[in-house]
Amino acid sequence: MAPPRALSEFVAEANEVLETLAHDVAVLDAQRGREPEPDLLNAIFRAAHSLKGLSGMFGQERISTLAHHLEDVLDALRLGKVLASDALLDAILDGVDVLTLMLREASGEAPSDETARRATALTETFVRLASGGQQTAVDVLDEVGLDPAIRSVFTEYEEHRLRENVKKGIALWKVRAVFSLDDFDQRLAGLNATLKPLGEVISTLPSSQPGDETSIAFDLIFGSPRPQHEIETAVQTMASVQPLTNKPVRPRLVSEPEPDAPRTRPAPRPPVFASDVSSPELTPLSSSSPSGVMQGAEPSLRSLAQTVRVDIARLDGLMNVIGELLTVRANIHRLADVARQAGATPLPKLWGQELQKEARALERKLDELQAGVLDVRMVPLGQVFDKLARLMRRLVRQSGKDVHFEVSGGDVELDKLIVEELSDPLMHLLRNALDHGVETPDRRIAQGKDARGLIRLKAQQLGNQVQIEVGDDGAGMDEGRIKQVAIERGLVTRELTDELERRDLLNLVFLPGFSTRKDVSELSGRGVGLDVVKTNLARLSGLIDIDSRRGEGTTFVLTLPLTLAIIRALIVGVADRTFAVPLNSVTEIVAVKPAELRTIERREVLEVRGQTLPFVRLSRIFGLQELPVERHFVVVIGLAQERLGLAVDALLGQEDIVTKPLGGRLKGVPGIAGATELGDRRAVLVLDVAALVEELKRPQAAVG
Amino acid sequence: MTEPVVQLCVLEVGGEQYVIDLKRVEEILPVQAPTPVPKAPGFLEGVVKLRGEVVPVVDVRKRLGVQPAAGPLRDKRVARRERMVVCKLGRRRVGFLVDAVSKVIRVERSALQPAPLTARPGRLPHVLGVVGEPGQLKLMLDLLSLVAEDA
Amino acid sequence: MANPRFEAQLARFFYRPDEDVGAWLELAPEIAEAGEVAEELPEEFLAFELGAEVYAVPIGAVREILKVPAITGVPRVAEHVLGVMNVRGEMLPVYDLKQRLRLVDAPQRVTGPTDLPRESRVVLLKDPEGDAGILVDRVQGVVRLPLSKLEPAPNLGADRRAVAGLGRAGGNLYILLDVEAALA
Repeated sequence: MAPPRALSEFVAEANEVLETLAHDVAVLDAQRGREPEPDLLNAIFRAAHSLKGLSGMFGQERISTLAHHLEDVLDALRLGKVLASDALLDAILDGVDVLTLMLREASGEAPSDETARRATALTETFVRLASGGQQTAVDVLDEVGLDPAIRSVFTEYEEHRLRENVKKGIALWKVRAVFSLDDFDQRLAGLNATLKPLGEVISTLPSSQPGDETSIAFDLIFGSPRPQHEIETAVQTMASVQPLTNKPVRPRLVSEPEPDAPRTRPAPRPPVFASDVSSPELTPLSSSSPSGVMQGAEPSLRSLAQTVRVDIARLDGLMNVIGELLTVRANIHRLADVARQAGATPLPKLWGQELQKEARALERKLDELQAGVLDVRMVPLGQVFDKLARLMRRLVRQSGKDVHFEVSGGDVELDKLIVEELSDPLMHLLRNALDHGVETPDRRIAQGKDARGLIRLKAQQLGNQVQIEVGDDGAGMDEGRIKQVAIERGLVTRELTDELERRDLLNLVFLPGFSTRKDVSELSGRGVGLDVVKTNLARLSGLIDIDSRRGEGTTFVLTLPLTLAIIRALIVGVADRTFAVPLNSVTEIVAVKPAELRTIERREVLEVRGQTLPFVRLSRIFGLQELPVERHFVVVIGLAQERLGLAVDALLGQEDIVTKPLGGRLKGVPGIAGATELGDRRAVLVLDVAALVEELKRPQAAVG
Repeated sequence: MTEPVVQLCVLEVGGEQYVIDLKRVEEILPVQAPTPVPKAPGFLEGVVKLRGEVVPVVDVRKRLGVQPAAGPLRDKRVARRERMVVCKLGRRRVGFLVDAVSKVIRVERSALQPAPLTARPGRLPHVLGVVGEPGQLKLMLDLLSLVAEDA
Repeated sequence: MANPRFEAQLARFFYRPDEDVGAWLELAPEIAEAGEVAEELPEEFLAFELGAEVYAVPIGAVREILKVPAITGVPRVAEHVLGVMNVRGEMLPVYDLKQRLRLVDAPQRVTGPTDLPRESRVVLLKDPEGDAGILVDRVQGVVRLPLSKLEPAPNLGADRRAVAGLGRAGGNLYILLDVEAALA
């Protein structure tokens, strides 16, 4: 039981919320028969939400439960999942009444059975109403030919608002504006105010595309029936206006289909977005050409690569840091003035101390700024996982298999760029798990497995890396079959396959040309177009590994760096030079004595825990002096499933580095990704591990 | 805490002393004859080329309406002292012709004061404020307004 | 000082790189292009020594003159590339012109100022292909070489293409460097 003081606080606050709620619901009621105003619906939804939270916090479970169900209904309503029918509006009105009664009872009145009965009945009504919505079979957004890439960055609510605009035949525009960081908030508000009378600003997406350090660009997604020139006249020089849709928007003359009537496809148009996968001629993903790009049935799930949705709090944080930097700047100016004035007279000791203090503050703030900007680039994997989950559910339905799709770790954050690039490879792996991994229910039962298969998508952060697992409990890979196919395709010799260890054997599926269309029906394992997945991951400095047991399932493990911008690097010394090796490609470091090296066909190799790796002296491939050593430090680098040991003379530590290009004239030096500066400002070259591995794989690179 | 000090460049135009922010001053050059530009606003004397960059030139004396008589009547001492002050305005550079550049002064920022009421609006449209002792007031010149079309 | 109007005046008075300079000045370059501007003569050049010879590059092509910074050797590049230097966070290549122009026989190994005489400098040149530094033995200063008096480069053989011409001033001979060819 809450103490009386807390209770009275609760009642006061809840009363306030409830009053707003009641007022807004009354307005909604007055508009009965018309389409509810989105702003009003949002306000009501938020009120119900606050009431739920508030009452939950004070242990008022009855109120909390009812508010929760009210919230669900309102959410469905604002997302257009259900229509504002009379029954629904009546229920909402009733809900406000009951909530008021319950609040009174909470504040001391005797509880009545009547209220409890009404609450129970209402809860049931709300549940029924909230789920009553018919899934939209045809999406009007598909029909306007909205770029799926643009579309996928919207929240569900924004997508709904887009849809509403399209349904009414209102054209969608992209209004792009670039504002100075100094006052972008005011000017953005100004632009919003200018646009509002002309239509609806559906979404404001900060764009990372143009702009320099001092400005920020925004894309406002704007629905307006006005002609382009009129919008342009209104925004004047503030922004540029572009039509968002690539097809004319046709107003729908016939109003909404009845909510209960199933919607039918109006026209046999080719699908424009993934939600149309229901088309019968679904091309199996496996048909993707070995040459590269995935051309499966699924259009890319990638969103606008150039925009990042940023929590306003993060931007505020950056603004604060900039504000503090300005203070530091002012202080430094002041100190400089003092120094200038002092002329020949020696400066007081205090001056030096103050300058030092400011220098430290500057350093701290710059660090914060850097971290903040990186932070802005980080987005939760959930953004991609959610899309994948939606798509998987549909694919599972079509497949006729019984599969439970389990997703976890969507809150793990990664660099936006990586998240975007990941969606295609992940989709590929998931489809393969469904098509070739999980067996049909009868087959599973015959093998004594649960009829229901499992596909897992799981992410977790491990230090500076993120690990994503795509696993299934299906048939697993047939090693014998892999071996056979690889030999048939001339990818390996029979002798070699006999020597290959299990893991290497499995990794053969990543070789280009391992599989062709023909294999789809034959090969019960997988390996279809996996070379493309591997290539895509390698571009992100990612590693992919595979584990598969016949009859038990297959798991792919993707390991990715958290961010591409700042990387942790191992600093190594070779001859008298220093190099940085991105740590995300370093799998381990070992020391070997020269006597432990072997050669195979005169190439040096070394054995690390039972695995034989090519051994490469960095000094030799870079034409540097080779120092005699008692033992080699070997940095084992791995890229995708390739591994090799790189011998260096010294290990000098680890640093966080930002790789910079070598300037226009030296770009493209093989094996060098760029340079970075360490403490002493001297440029240190950063190795391009991918290029080195690639180079050493080529037969003509006769090294070692 | 020390009062912030600013450095000002003192210019002479028509017998008055004007000051501009020293940070604006890029260089001070002997006057070169500007190349006239057709269809340019009246206040533009022309342009000169400085190390490859075309720089517009504005005669401050004409802008302030104190142009000394040209031709034989022109004071030779003035002619010998006249200079072009190349100033930064934003990211642009502009050459300003003045009678002389006399010195650089340091003053506390708080010494900069609004122009006295005698400077009624419109009378000194290019003056932003004043600095200095009464009787030796120096006028803060509004360079930006010198390169704007008159309202 | 609580006079907002005067604060605005002060803001106008003091220089800020991002100040609003008004429409006319924003358009000044275009306006200026409309008129014919007499080419500035004579042209200014930066003169510097490489061994016993004096070379010159148009001053407009010079971005900066630097004391010799730490230079990091880069493997797998031409011999006349000394390496990269860090100029305030920007990584830029440094060229050994003496090697490039075959003024010396053996390539020199330079990792920083300690390997060189005190007068040595790196002249940072602007170039559309990417700015680059050249190591010089000494910077003499700016010379004015009337363009009309420049001589074309004498034909010294096919591999002397980095010489754009010759200039004379005050009894001295200046070899005008073709920057683009020298860095190629």
